[in-house]
Amino acid sequence: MASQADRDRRWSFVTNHARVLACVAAEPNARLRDIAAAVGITERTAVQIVNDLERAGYLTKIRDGRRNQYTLGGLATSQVIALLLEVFDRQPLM
Amino acid sequence: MKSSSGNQDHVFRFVTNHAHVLQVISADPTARLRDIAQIVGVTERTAAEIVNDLEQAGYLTKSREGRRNRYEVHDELPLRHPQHRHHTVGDLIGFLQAPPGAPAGR
Repeated sequence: MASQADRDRRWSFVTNHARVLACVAAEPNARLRDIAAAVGITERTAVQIVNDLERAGYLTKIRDGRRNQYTLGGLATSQVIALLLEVFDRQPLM
Repeated sequence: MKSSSGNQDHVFRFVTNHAHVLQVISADPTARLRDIAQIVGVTERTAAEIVNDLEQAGYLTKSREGRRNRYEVHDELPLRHPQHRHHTVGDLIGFLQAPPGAPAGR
């Protein structure tokens, strides 16, 4: 039988995909390591989520020297992002 | 949250079933579990578990009204994740309920 604390911890309102997208929107130069740390997931999971978001058209990856730079999609998507940010999070990366 | 589909299709969403259930109840406080389950796309059993989770976390209060439950949503409560504490559950519901193209209700 799961304890109350366990039950509380195993659900949330927002998915890690939303958290990663909010991080990238707040800091387009974010490193995957920092995104992973901010969201509380492994770097490997962060990579998969960024790939999911890219495949779905929410962001585009551009190589910028040794870093990736992310840009968010068209206007409609930006509006979605703005709403997501407004509601869910705007925590700067460390 | 992992994709529940289990395949490599990478179907993902931004909000969870818990958020969706809360939004459905907010829109119809006397909704039946059967209807909640159908709207959200989960089994009635899962809907009941989610409602219990929300109730135990204080987001919902259940009261009996005739043959139905009536739910009260406590939308002034903050979201639980440390990153999201500055937003209330009412912000979340307003966001989910805003019609397409409209600014999110706050």
